[in-house]
Amino acid sequence: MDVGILVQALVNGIMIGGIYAMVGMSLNMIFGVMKITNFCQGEIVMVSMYITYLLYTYLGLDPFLAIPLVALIMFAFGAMLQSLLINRSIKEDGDQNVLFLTCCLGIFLTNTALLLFSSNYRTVESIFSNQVMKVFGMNISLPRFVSFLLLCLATVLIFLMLKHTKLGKQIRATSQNPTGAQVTGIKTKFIYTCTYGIGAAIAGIAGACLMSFYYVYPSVGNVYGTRSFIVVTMGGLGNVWGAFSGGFVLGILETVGSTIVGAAFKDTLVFVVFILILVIKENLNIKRKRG
Amino acid sequence: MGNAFFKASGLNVKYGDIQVLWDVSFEAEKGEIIALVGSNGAGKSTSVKTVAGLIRHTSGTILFDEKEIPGGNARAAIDAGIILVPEGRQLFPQMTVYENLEMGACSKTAESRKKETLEKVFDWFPKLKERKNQMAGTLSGGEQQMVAFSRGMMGLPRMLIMDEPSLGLAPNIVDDIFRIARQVAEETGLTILLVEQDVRKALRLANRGYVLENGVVNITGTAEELSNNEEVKKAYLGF
Ligand SMILES: Nc1ncnc2c1ncn2[C@@H]1O[C@H](COP(=O)(O)OP(=O)(O)O)[C@@H](O)[C@H]1O
Ligand SMILES: [Mg+2]
Repeated sequence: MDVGILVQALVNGIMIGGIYAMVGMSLNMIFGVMKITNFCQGEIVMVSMYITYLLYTYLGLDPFLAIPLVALIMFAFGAMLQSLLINRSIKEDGDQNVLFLTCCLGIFLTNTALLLFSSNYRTVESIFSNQVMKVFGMNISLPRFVSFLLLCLATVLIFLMLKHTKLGKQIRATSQNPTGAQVTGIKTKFIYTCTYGIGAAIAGIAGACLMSFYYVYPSVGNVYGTRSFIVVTMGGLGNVWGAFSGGFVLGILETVGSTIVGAAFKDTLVFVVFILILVIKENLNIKRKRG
Repeated sequence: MGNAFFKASGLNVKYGDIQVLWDVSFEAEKGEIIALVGSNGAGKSTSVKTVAGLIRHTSGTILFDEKEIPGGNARAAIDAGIILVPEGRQLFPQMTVYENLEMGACSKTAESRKKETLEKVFDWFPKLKERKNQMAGTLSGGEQQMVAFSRGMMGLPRMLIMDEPSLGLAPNIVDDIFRIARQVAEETGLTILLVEQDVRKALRLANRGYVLENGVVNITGTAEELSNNEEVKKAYLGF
């Protein structure tokens, strides 16, 4: 096989991996702080894609320029979901409630989108759309490349926020020890609301970027929901850096894999590798515990 | 007769259907150091968590400096000046010592006086100054307790509650913390409520104490009275 094609696939993988990393990170942030598994993260991405679509259709906003606005709207949307619904369903003993609630929310959002937008594919145009950059004989899709850069920038900003701002410190404190947070006067309920909002905003940034080279339809969330779970499981639940690298591994696996086994089998390949990773990881864990 | 500076009266607390506190009352004057003692599971932590607003009581009142403290609102208790140094320390393990201390300065006043308080804390515990950039989770138990106590002091408490500060620690470290606590109480009129399983340790610091058994306050008196009480001697002092 031509090495050039593999390198091209690798580069594409890294770029799509950035999206997976971002969605995985948003899921992990919510898990890390609130200890709940959010089963509607994919659908939150879908909502943000439709918002980007609406902003483009009615205001003519380029998806990349729309990012701050989409992030803001998604923050409000996430914070509202959390404070109106999720917070009220959290019980001390186990999280089955939240599990069912977020699953149902996902179904609800998908069907609402179906009702409002029908099942047709919707696309938007960015100034970068359909443009290709030639680097070392490789074809690099400009919208994907710009998305990748923006996602990297967003990630750095999120880390700086967590590290240095008062809210960021309070979020870290709450995630590390909720009791400790309470006795130092942190309003943990408020922190949970903010965290869910930030998680939705991060997913929203990924969604807006996606719209510059991909289309939206009501069940598109499935694609990103399952992938974000793979990413998070590979990288370790609650481990933000792990999710980040997991995203790239998954992206590369998909694109390189599909050039080797053919695009039709790429999902099969991804899931086989995912299952293998789970089995190997579990065995290592068992050995470590026994050893 | 006027009310005491701090007065918890008739506290009843349930976990689900199970009642664990029955009409528990205790009080303290300004600057006083009182102890809440009793064996494991007696309800000491539940009592102080209730006072600190981590748990809601089903009936009873908590009065602090003439104001009623609402149940189940940790932030309201803190804003009133009641700060809990919880059992098991409950630090933020992946944050530095400095960040842990910083988190303690939560109210507006505490935040505006963060620098001064921090200087005092580093004066009391020079070791914490040396380790201020180290992750709290990597400290020894004694150092962690110093951080927990100091994090509490960063909030400028008017009443400091310490839940089992001596648990699993070497006596000299506990003595250090107690010495500083007493000094602050004498200098600034800080009221201290100390929770201990070990009656002997508690009475080293406290002027007065309450003995809690199965969720009920049974015996109360000055440190001297308690150490001479036949029941206390038999049950807790090992005579
Ligand atoms: N979160 C909880 N849920 C249910 N029961 C609890 C909980 N915390 C403590 N208890 C029970 O309440 C009683 C008092 O506990 P606690 O206040 O922790 O006692 P102490 O601090 O004196 O050891 C014990 O019987 C304990 O088992
Ligand atoms: Mg206790």
